[in-house]
Amino acid sequence: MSYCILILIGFVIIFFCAKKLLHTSIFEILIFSVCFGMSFLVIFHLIYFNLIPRF
Amino acid sequence: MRQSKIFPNRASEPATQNPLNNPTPQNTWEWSCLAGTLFLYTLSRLWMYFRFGARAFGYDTGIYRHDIIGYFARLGDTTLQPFGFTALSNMLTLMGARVDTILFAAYIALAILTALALYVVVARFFNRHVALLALAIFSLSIIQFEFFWWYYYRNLIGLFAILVACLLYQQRSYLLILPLFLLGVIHPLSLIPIALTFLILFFISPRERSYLWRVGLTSGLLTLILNWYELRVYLPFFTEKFGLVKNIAPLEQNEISGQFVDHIFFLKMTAPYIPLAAIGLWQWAKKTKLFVIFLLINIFLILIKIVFYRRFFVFIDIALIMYAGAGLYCLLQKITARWFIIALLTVLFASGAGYTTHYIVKKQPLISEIDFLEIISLNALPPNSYLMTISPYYAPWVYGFTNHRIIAPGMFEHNLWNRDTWNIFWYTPNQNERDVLLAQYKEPIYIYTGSLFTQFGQAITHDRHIKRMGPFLWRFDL
Repeated sequence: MSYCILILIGFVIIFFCAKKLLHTSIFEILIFSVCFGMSFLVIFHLIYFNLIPRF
Repeated sequence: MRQSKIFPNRASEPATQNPLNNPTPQNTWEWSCLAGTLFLYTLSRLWMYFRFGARAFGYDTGIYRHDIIGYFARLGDTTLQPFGFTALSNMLTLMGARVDTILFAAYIALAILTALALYVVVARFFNRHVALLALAIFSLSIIQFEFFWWYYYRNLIGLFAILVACLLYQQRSYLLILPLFLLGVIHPLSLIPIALTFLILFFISPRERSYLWRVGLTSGLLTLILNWYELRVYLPFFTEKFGLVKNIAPLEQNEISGQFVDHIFFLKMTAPYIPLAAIGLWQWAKKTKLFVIFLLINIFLILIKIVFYRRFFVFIDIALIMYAGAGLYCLLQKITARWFIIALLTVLFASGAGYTTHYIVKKQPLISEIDFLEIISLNALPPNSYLMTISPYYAPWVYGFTNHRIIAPGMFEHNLWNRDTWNIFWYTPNQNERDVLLAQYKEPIYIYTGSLFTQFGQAITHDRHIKRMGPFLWRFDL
């Protein structure tokens, strides 16, 4: 639960920083955040749990 | 030529950009339309789950449930067959998400985000009013509902990533690498049409060549390096069978077709907006080359019957919805009387909403409540027992919702028999012959017939090695 709250707070901060910095629509920031978030989670998993244990 | 950039920063765009391309609604009327449509769309996606719970969706629910639990239990085990989706589910589980949260809450949230992504993409490529119309058609699309209901989770992530990729391409952002990589890992099948689209754009648009080359090369290398162990499993489909269904054994062709709607159902359900899409295509094709190519590529992939080709109907539907929104917008612009526009839209969308609501409300789950509760109760048996289901119909449900080793015809890792052996098991009048087959497992086996195959239970009930344990459950002992 605490993880979820931390992620939510982080998400809100990134969300508004990105909105101010990139001058883009609030919907785009939301969509990009989810897509990039998923990509980074997958990259981390593939490196840490799939690639590194093989070497 | 627009400058390529890393971040999709709108501030650097020329001032000539049409303000209608801004996806943020500019007045109360637009906000109401957007919020109302998204609200109704969300309701349509929540309906089945609130009515039927975990058994609401298609067969894949059980398989995903099994994989999310099973892969997380063996996190970091490199002997497991690689499965890109679990890279995401494992990380979500590590962050504290429960299996049902990933299975249902995240799935429904992703469907809502996909609707929002469609709205933004259409607003950027066409305009905001077209986007509102397209979103309304999207929320009424039976094909999109069927796609959601069949529970093609990876495919849905793929659709979302494709829409994000279109948005980043429109802004010439190098972050396009990320959704393409995500597609390559989570659902390589969805990568095929969008990668081919970008490949064609690479050849026909010299001004974008350098940008597409860098993006394509980086995302391709990243996907190959990080996901090679999974991609090599799919490789024989393309090297030996050319990726075509006709080159696969006839018995496997149904499964390998993608098990989604067929072309007749697709045409029937999209018929109301195909004429609008034709008008939209006529008016907007030159300005939206990306979607024209994407549409043609998907039609081509279906015509040649590439593996899982039926899933491409979803992408065709998305492209048709975009152009149908554009077509309707063009028609409305020809009408000057405001009252007539409002009346026309009300009639169109009220009739569409009526039909879709009726379709969704009448939709029934694949498995009955009796069977589902019986399957859940099988968890009371000793853990990790052999549990046989005599039909593939129940296989994904027992696979996902029990903690046993599942034996099912032609499915999963514990099945020792081929089709001929299963035929003997199902139809032999000789009980000894059946016992010899079951004895190959060298352990007691629980046999689940389900409410649909109780006749089989009657056939085996006189076997001295088989004892009835429940209304649909038998136990075989050596």
